Amino acid sequence: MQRRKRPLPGFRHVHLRQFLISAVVPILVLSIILSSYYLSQSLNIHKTSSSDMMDTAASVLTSDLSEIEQISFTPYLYSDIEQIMIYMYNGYLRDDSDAPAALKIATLETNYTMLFTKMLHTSRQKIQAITFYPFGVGYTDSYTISRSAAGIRYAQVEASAVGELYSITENYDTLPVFLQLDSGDPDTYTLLRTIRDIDTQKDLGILRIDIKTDLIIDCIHSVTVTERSGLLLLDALGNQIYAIGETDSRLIEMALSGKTEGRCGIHLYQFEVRDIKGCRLIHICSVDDVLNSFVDSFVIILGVILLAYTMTFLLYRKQSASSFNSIEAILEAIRQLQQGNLDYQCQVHDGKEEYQVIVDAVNEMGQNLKALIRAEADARDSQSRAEFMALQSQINPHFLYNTLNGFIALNRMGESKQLEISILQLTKLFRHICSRSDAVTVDQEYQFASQYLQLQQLRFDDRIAYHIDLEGEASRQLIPKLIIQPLVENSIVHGMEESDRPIEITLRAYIEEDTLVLVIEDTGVGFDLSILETSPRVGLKNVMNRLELFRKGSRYEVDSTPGMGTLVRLMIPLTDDGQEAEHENTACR
Amino acid sequence: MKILLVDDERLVRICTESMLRELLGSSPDFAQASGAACAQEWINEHGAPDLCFVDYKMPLCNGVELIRKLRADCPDTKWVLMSGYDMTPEDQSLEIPADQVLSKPASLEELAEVLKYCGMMEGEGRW
Repeated sequence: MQRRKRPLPGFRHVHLRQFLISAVVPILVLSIILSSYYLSQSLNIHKTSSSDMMDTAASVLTSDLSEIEQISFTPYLYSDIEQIMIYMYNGYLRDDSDAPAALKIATLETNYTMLFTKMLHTSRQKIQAITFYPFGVGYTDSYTISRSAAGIRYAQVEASAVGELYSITENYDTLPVFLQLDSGDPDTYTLLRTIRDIDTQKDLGILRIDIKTDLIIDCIHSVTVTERSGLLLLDALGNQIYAIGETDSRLIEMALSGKTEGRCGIHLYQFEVRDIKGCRLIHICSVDDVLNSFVDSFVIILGVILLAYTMTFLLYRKQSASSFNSIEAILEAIRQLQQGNLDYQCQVHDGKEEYQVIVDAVNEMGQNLKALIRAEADARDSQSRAEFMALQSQINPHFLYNTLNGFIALNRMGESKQLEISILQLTKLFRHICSRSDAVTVDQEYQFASQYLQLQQLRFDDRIAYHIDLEGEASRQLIPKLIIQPLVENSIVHGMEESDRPIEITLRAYIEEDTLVLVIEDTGVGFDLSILETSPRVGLKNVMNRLELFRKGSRYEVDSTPGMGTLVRLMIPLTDDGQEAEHENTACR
Repeated sequence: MKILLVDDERLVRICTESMLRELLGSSPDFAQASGAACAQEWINEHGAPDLCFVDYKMPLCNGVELIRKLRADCPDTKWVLMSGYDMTPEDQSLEIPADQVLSKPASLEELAEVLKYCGMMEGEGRW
């Protein structure tokens, strides 16, 4: 099966998703809620402040206009003024008139002049002129007290405009009308009022008060509006007295029609209208501007939030990187273990303690597995090697061949007694070989060697002499079966067969400092010890391997002098009970 | 008729002599040598034998070497090489200077065949 090389992106995604759900989403939701709240608050505050501004402007404007209105009310407050106005209506002030009481008229006229002059003085400097346009006989006359660079002057001038003015005021009965006259100075604002005789209910004429427009717009001059918003002041006739910003006629129409909100093109506007003595103060407020100002703040807030996100994410990345790396390292280690690479050592850098614990466990698991596998393999190997070598160490068939040849000769010679003895010896030899136990006592093994040597003597006559020296304690020790015979055979094959000289073989066994020592010594041809380094003798090697398997710490010594003989010493540590028991188990198999 | 038996193993020499005596009777003179030196010595003393059985595997000097060495001095001698298990395939592939090669242990019949071949016994040799 093909394993995925890197299964981790999924894991990373899960982690990232958790991060988003637990950190980003709440922040995002919170920002959206806060933004919406902030937006609605902004709009409310803007609306309130706009409304407050309008109220303030309207209030100031009202008070200014009230003052002017109050002046226009003068004829009704002072009977002298009304009286002179009646005279003016009747044309008594004309030069060619036939006035009933010249003195009285002159006095009244003086009063009239004095009063309005005083008013001009006491009222705001912005009042330019006070004029009366009489109807009746005095029609086309006008009586003006005006301010000029030279001072205040009184004049009786012709005023042909009275008809035009009356066409305006007659719609208002005797109420004052504030307006900007088309024919007048554009910087001048005018109040018109029809004066009526209270007794006769006859319209006497029109009182006109001219005011510098500055007076009116002073109070709204300081009002500022946003880029696309507009502020307008319309007179009673709908003429623009003052306008700043957006003054699209469609918007004005919408505002005047009583709408509070309207759209012009793609832009949305809110309208606020105040009626001040017949004038209209209109605020066209661009919602877009408010939103834009909000968007600016929102962009800053968003920027800060994004910055916070980025920092959070970077911190998260940095914090989680070591975790991810650790987990990747652990997964890689597990993958390696799965593939059988038990030597793989997992490393985590800058890992948290928990990861280190896992890593250590994984590494240890690998090592333990390896040790276990090796131990198992070793055990199996040892077992098969032991079996193999036990087979290997079976008696040499050549020996049997030679021995049987000897038997034939004995038979031919008629040496039946010797033949019987020899056959019995061979039988014992095979009984020893065929015995089921792998381990035998030293005594048994030396007995076996003795029988073997006797059979060899049958072949080689007096060329072989042997001697066995066995200590009581040593003779009872257990050793692997057939451990001595190969060495004795070596002595004969290498030490004697190739020469025609006789050989003496001595076998000894004794205990020396908790070590069983087995000695095989011969007086054969010997050999150069350096040969052992290049080509170790198979028999000896086999014996040593078996001894090593039988008991750890077993060793051997070989001493040989060419022409003098060879001495092999096997040293087997005396074992503790546990090991002995273990071996007995093996022996019983 | 002189028959020389060369073998380092006494039992083998005795056994072979015993079998030959059974086949040839007591008329031939039998001599035994335990090795090459001994055989050389005997020949020097008694002259070339009519028939010589030589063991292949002997210490110091093997049978083939011995036959080669003695053959010139004893041109009329019939040589029989007695081979045991020790004869390796390499040895067998060599040009063996012997007249006959006999595997040990040889049976009476095999010995008889060899004797017939060498003209020591009446009858046709198998070889």
